[in-house]
Amino acid sequence: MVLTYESEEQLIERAKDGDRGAQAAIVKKYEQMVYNVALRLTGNAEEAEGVMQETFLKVLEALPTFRGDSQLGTWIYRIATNFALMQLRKRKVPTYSLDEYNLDETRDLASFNRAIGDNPEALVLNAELRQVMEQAIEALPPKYKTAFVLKDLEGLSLQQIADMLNLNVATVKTHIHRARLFLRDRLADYVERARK
Amino acid sequence: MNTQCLHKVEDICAALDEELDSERCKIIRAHLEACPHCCAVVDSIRKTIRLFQCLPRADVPEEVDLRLWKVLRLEGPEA
Repeated sequence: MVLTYESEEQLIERAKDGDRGAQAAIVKKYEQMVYNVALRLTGNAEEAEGVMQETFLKVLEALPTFRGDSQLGTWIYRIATNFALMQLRKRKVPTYSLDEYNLDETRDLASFNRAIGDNPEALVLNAELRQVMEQAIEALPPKYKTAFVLKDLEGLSLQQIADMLNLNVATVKTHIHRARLFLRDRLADYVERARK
Repeated sequence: MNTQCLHKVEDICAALDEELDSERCKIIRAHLEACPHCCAVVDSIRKTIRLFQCLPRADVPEEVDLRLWKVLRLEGPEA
């Protein structure tokens, strides 16, 4: 049974002292977050499960050394992201730079904007579009994917991401911007194909 | 899109994120008001982000959940 605790600080202190209920409460609280990050970064359910297991084994092992310099969630994000990136390196995912990614100046963005409209919730009900979107995320090189997932899907701040990835904020911004353009162009390609 | 617009596009990233009260952001906003193409670029990026944010988040499958608690040797909520 997972118990409830007055505050996260209390939960952390109890867990550090070996309280198994407190440790279970931490796992329960962050389980879905870790699974989703792992799934987005690896694009593979089996690998995401492995990343999640490694993450929480590490969290429980390293918890006594957690000093509270960052929030517990940010610390767990960092561990999960590192394991997911290690998994991608093991898989030898080809990595390339999007820094020279060129904007297609001829692209008709007004048409794209009209096609997407103002109701994205309804659009993602389309299974074919969802598949295109999943494949587009999967196609991003790891460093761009990581920045995009952490900022735009998980809602972390630029500073949190920079601290987690040992990068400066300007570099993180560049990675996110390149990722967004890449994803938008993949979507725009799909929209153009669908219109023909 | 002219060359000036292309240079602005890098700055648009910042316009979409933070520093909304900065001098730089005011300059970008002024440019956006006068440049339909850059407006479309910003709009396309906003829509892209929003669309990806609408992708459903995965629930942890029950069997995956059970295996996690077993590996951790902890009692999960179902125990």
